[in-house]
Order: sequence, then C-alpha cells, then structure tokens
Amino acid sequence: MRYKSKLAILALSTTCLVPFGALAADDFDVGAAEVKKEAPTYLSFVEGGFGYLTESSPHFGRFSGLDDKGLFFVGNASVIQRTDNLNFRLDASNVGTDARAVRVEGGRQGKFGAFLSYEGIPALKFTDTQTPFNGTNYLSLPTGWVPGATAQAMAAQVTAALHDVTIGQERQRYGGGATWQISPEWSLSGKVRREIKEGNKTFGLVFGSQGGTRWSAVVPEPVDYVTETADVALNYNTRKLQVQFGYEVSLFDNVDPHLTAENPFTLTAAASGNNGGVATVQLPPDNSAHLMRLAAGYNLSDTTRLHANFAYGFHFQDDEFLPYSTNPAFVATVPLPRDSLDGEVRNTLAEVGFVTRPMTQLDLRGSFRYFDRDNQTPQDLYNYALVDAATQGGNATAQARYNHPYSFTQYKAKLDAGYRLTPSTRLNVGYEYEDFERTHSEREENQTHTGKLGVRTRLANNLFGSVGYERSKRTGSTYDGMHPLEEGHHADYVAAQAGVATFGPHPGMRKYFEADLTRDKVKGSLSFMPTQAVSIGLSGNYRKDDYTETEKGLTGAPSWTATADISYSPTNAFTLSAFYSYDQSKIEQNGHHSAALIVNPDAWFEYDIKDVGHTAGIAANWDIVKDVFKLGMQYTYSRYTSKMDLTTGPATPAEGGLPENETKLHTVGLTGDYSIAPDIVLRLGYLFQKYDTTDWAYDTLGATSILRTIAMDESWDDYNAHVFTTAVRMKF
Amino acid sequence: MRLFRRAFIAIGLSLLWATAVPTAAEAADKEAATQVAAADAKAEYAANGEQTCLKCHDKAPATNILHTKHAVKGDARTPFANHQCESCHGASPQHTRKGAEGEKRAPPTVTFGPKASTPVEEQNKVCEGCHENSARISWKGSQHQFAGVACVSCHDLHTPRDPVLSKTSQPEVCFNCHKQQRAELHKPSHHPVIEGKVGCAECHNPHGSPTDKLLSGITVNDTCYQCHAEKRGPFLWEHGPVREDCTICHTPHGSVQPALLKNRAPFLCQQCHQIGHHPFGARGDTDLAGFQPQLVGKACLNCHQQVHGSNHPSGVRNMR
Repeated sequence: MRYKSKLAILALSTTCLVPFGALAADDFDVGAAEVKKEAPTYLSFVEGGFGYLTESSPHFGRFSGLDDKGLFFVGNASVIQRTDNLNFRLDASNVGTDARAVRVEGGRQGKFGAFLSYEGIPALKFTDTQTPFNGTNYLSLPTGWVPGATAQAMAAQVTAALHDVTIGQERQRYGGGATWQISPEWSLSGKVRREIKEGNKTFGLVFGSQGGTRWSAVVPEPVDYVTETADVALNYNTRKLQVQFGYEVSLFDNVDPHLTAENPFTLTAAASGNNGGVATVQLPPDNSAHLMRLAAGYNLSDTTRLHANFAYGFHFQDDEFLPYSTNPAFVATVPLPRDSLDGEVRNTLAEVGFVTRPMTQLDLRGSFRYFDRDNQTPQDLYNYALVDAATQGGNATAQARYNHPYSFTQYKAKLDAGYRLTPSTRLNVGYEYEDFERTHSEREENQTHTGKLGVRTRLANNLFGSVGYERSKRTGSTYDGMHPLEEGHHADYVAAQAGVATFGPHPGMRKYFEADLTRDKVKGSLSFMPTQAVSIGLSGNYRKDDYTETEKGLTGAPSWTATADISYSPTNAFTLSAFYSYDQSKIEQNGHHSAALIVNPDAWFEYDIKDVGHTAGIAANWDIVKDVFKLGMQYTYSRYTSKMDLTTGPATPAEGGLPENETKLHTVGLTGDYSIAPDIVLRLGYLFQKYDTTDWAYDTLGATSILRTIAMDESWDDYNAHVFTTAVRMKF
Repeated sequence: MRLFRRAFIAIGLSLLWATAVPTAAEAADKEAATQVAAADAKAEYAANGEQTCLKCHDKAPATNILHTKHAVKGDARTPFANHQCESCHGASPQHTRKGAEGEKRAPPTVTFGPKASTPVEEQNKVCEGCHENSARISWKGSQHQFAGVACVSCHDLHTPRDPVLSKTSQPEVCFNCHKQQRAELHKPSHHPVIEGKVGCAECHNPHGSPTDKLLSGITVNDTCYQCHAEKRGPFLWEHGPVREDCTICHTPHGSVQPALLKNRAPFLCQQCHQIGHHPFGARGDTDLAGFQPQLVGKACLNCHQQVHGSNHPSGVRNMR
C-alpha cells in the first residue's frame, strides 16, 4: 500500500470522528511532505480561525468538548526548531475547546531533555438528564418535601422538582519530565503527572430494603479526584546488555469521599433504612500504589537473546471507615472491628524469556510468567447495618460477614516456534500453559492449555495470505458454589441455613471466568495488490467459547469479524480508500427463575443475545493543483444493533424477548486547502454527523416509572450536527 | 501443576539447547558478521556523505530525514553523525557509482519497507543497532517481532513527525493490521482513541511487555488503574472478578453495550449471580412494560452500584 493510501485511511477513520480535528488539526504531512529541491521547507505552522456548530449535543462533543451550539476558536500549532546543539518543539491542538492539548519540549539531543504538557480530556455524557436532588456531596430535597411510600406515589412532587443536571467528567492533565544521558551507557529519566478529574456520574443509591424490595434513587455522584504519579528510571545500555531499574508511585485522592442524600421515601415499618433521615455511601477511598521494576535483556549471541522483567509493588488503602449506619437511632451492639481497613496488597511479577534461531529456518521463543497478588488486608467479621438501618445483624444472621481479601497467583509458560518451510512460507506452532490459583472463590484453581497453529505465506508476488487456528481448554479444581458463602458468613448463620435450598446459588451455576471452557479461534487474511495503484485486503476472525460443564450461567459465546479494505492511488495526487467491517457476537446463557422455584426443573430460561455491527467508510484526497489546492472527503457509516431473545420453561412466568437496540452514525467530512501564498494556506472545512439511537432501558423511562426508584434518564440524545470551519495556516 | 512443571522444564531445556549448543545458523551468522565487519573496514562510504545522496534524492520524503532527530550531527549517536544516509542504508558504492548509460542502478545495500529486497530481520537489525536499549528490552521475542513486523512497518523515519508517535495519528498506523480493533473502536461505547485523546500506546507497549497483550502495565488491571486509580482499592468488600481482571466484564476497545461492558446488566450479572434470597429470574418484555428495577435504567445497579468494590463497613452487598 502506498504511503499516501495509508494516510487516506488514517484520515478516514480518525478525522471523521474528531469533529473539528478533521478540519484543522494534525495533518502534519502538509509542508514538509511537499518540499522541492528549490522550494523552502516548512517545518512549522501556526493556525487560527473560527468554527460554528449548529446544534448543541453533549454526545457530539463528549470527547471534543464541542458540545455547545455557536462559534468556537480553531487553534493549532506545531513548531520544530532543531540545530546540532539544541532542539525545541511545541505542539498545540484544539486550543479553542476543552479538549486542548499543549506540549513543549526541548533540550540537547544526546545530552538532556525536558518537557511540559497539558491536556484536557472531556468525557461529557448528558446535559439534560434530571433529578429532584440538589447539591453535590450532600444531596438535599426541595424545601417542603413530603416523603412518599413509592416514587409513583410522589410522581407529581418529583416531576415538579426535577431540574437539569450535567453528567460527565473532565480530566485536566499536567505533566513534566526530563531525561539525562549521563554517559553513553547510563541515562536517567523521570516524569510526573498530576491529573484532576472533576464532574459527576450517576449512582444508584438505596434508602430502604425489605427482602427483595428496595427503595432507591439514581442520583448524581460527585467526581472530584486528584491522581499524582511519578516514574523514574535508571537505564544502562550496551550492545550486549540492557538494564532498567524503575520506580513508580501513584497517589489517588478523592476530595469527596462520601455521598449523603436525604431519603425521599417513607419506608414501611418492616424495612431497613433511615426513615426520614439520610443515607450515606462511601465513594472511592484514597489509595496509593508503589512499584519497583527491574528489566534486563542480554544478547547471548547474534541469534539468542534472554530477557527478564521483575516487579514488586504495593497497593495501600487506609481511609477511615464510616460508621455502620448514619441513622441517629443506630446503636452499635457490636463495634466495628477496626477504624480503617489497613488494606495492603503486594504484587510480585517475574517474567523471563528467550528468543533464538537455532537453525536458519527455525525461530524459537519461550517465556515463563509468575504473577502474585498477595492481599494482606486483615480479615474481620462485620456485623453490618442494612442500608443505614437502626440495627445491625447478629452472628446468626446474614448480616454478619467476613471480608474476603482476594489473592491470586498466575503461572504461565509459553513456547512458540516459527519454521520457514520455504523462503516465502512460514509455519508457526505454539503452546501455552497457565495455572491460576485464587482464594475465597468457588474454584480455587484453573488450568488452561492452549495450542496454536498458523501459516503465513506469499502466494504470489502480489498476494499474501495467512491462516491461524488456536484451541484452548480450561479445566480446574472442584467447583464449590457454596464455598464463598460458607466462608463469608458466621458459622452460626451457616449452620442455621443447613438444608435451605435457597441459600446459595443454583447447583448448576458456573461463574464463567472460573468455568470449564473450550475456546476455538480461527483467523485468516489475504492481501492482494493487482496493480501498483490498487491494494485489497480481506481479513476475518472467528471465536467460539463453549462452557462445556455449565448448566446455569454463560454457556456459549461465538463471535466473528470480517473486514475488507481497498485503496486506489492512480497518481501521487489522488488517493481513494474504503473499508467495511462486519462483526457479530452472540451470548448464550441459561438461568433458573426465582429462588422459590429453585428445585423445579421446569423453571428455566435461556437468553440469546446477539450484537451486530456494520462499520464502513470511504475517503478521498485529491491535490487538484499541486501545492496550491487540495480537497479531502470522508464518509463513515456505522450501525450497531443488540437484540435479546428469551425462551422460558413451563414453570417460568411468561416473558418474551426485548426490543432491538440500535445505534446509527453517519459522518461526512469535507476539507479544502488553498495556498494563498507558499507559506499561507486557507483551510475550509465542513463536518456533518447524524446520530440516532434507541435503548429500551431508557427510552420510555421517566423519573417515576419504576415503582420504588427515582430514575435518571441516561440515554444518549439523537443529533444532526453541522460544523463549519475556516482557518488560516501560516507555515514557516 | 505437574503439567506446568513439565512445560517449564521443556522451556528450560529448549533454552539450554538453544544457548549452549553452537548451531549452524550461529556459525553462519558469525561468518556473515565477520564478512560485514571486514566489509565495513574497507567499506566505500560516499566521500561527501549525504550530499552524494542528495544529488539525486532531492525531494521529499527523502529529504525530510534532514529535519529529524536522526540528522542531528551534534548527537554522536545519530546516523548523520556517522555515515549519514549510509549509516542505515549501508555503504552502497554500487548504488552511488554512475553506471553505464541505460544501465539500471543497483539498489542501496539495505532498503526498507514492505517491497524492500532486504529481509525484515536485516532491516530491523539496522534499527536495533542503536535502539536495542532499555526501552525495548522485550522487543525480541515479542508478538510483533516474532510475527516479522518491520520497524518501518510502523515508523516513518523520513518525516519530522512520525505519525505513530502522535496520539492523533497513531491509531491508524495500528489499524493497518488491527482491523478488528478499528471496528470495535467505532462502537457506541469506546475509549476516545479515534478521537485522538487516548493513544494505543498508553495501554499497549508495541515493543514488548511481560503481558500477553503487550500491555503497558504489569497486568490488565494495573494498566487500567493508570487512568482509573479510583478502582484500585484495595477495598473492604472486593468483587472477586474485578480484582482478577477488568476484562472479565469489560471489553476495552469498544462495545455495543454501555460502559464498555461485554453485556449489559442484568444479563451480565446473571452470568454469575443467580442466588437465593433475591428476586432473580428471567427478565424480558413483561418486566420492561412494568418498569421492573432489575431490568430498566441501571438495572442491577439501580441498587447495587458499588460493583467495583465498597469500603463501607455495611457495603458487602455493593449498596454502600
């Protein structure tokens, strides 16, 4: 594929989805790529202009920050200055929006260097979802709120109190770093980053609980995180030996560690909860992580190399606990076993490997990986209060629970061989073995064997192909579905549950990540270049997961993807490229309806969920007048659907499948660059996006549609957005 | 464990065999190396360095190399501080020599790219001569290296701005081979990779890593915690699969379902949780019409929000 064809595909897939990036940013090939012997070489540019968005849409602008209708500033720059002694580079993009990024770096190449960076990363979701609650980390109800038994009983009151709230977050990343080449062999590098993430997301907050009945509200959860990271590495490099010793630290601080909300409900007398009071939840606690790394590579000979990676680190978390309940009437009969978790996890990694060519035709590689998550967090008995109830559970109840500090250990060995059957055909064979051991789980060990076979060949001078097949089989130790429950409850409660059929999961349930699994994977590709100007690529993947011993739970998951790419470049001045991908994944899972019917073999059901995706695109770039006028065009179309079909047994209450969810996105982009002078380019752009989506979970859901839950609408909005931009690029 | 030990022993023996026994290939390589060294000693590098090459190669993209890091002569490590173009393309007197009229000029000793006559291993050797350093310790033996990917398949040296080194253009370089990921990253729920806000190389290390998927962290979860540190914990009440591997529930490149989930609640939850003491069961159109909280809105998460873990003493059911 010609370089320009690659660029065309590049432009197609990225720029169509970067609303104004397509129009103004980062096509760095311009300038330098068109240099002539006698023409000046432009390495740098500064670009400024304006754009206009015709429709406000948080979804359209979710990652670009371009969510409000109206004018915006287009600003991009890239400046490179390099001499034999010093170098300087500045890159700035999208400076007129919340997605702006700036990076400045400089130094003396081969001696020292430093950089500073800033980047905004919006992740906007909704601007018009609604809630009756006010505030951020203390959510209050409007004055005069009259609690009701259900959301529906308070419908008028809730509806009157609803107001818009924006859901989404924005990250602001500040970074810096430096490198120092101490000697030809030794170097030191370090970087730091401070990230502030602010905004909110939604939280399903429970105010009351009675058996399987809950009173809850989906509320805005404040997000106010600060994460600071630092990474320093000392490097030693020679032709034979390369070593790196590094240390990383990450400190996470949640400025709003708790969320409290006033209870909008009147709970029944038998319900647990804080009737007439507030409910408080713990948000992500502050934590820290430290990691020491040692990596080394050694060339034993020209044909054999060894490498090793070792790491040892900690995760700490010791935020002060909230009380069992914030209910003023709560009196702890059994105190908290500790004031904070004193959580500590020790991670150990050891990975060693080799690659060698013992014969001219044969390549071998092998590796062994050991990873251990050793959770040293203390294990205690917690007699918890259910959703801010006034009382806590005794040892003979389900509310006396031991925490489970999960630990696991992974051993993995791999061996691969590549053999050149002919100069143009290579046969690959591989084998992997994994042993995975975990604590506090239904299944303490899994073993997985994987075999791989593949051929890569040049069928003709202009035709390449490859096929591969892989099968893995996972088994393991005895599956004991009761084990975590028996281990997690107090012995008094476990004894009282003896013989109770509804204590614990269905005996046929197998959690899919622990279950026996046979996985088959087939992949293939063809690459054909019938002429110098045309390139065609076809590829496909098929995967079938078969959970062989699972009666209830996930039983199968087949999926496949097929892709076609074509590019056409009759001249250097014109490129055309297109692609299409189809992917389909299915989920087959079985279940058993209702605890009360657990012993009834006819109370079964089966879900068949099928997700289908079509993604297609076409792009063209045409230098109509070389160095003076060029046009670009892109179009992408994607359509995704998800459909669930349900089959039920004779004893299962009648339920049918669900409507198909569908998402469609059309994107059209047009760009035109006109050189007013050799160093001045007028850039015009137009982008259109049309987005349509349906989602049964939200489409007809109102704030009080659910009997005992005050809901928030979290469906994406449809939009038809047009963006017009004009900018002037000065090259120098 | 027994099988594991056998596998380990097999690998160990293979390694021993590979490293201890001098092979024909090694001998051949040594001979070749000796020949190269000898050739280098008497190599006929162009007397005028890059100026010789620029007599013909006077247009972009060839000339763009002059504006790159590789052309900084003040840095003794660079090609241009040594034999300029021929540092990478090899001493090529047969190429620089003017032949008889009508005679096709011989190619440089080393050529790069998919149509190059130089084998990928030899192309990469040129790059590895300088770049086999602590940043690429695991390159040899990595998936890309073992699959015969050339350095220049991803890197463009003759440009001051290599597309693969920019977050905005990097994905398309990767998509040249990773078509499935391209399709997934267009799905309704995705990381902002095609939008240029997350680069592939923020999660993956294409030059090799101690993980299966060339991850930048030492595990899947450690990779995710680089941006999602709030989910790191450890928590008082942990959710086992969450601690084990984020990809048990999430598919990181994109999903038709919300929140990059492999399946949405309640169906995803029901793949593991069909327990007693809870109103579990078949959820379908009747429940949709009745707005059952187990199905609509956030479904299970209408109540059990803390699926990533809770640090509340009463949070064992993920409700606090």
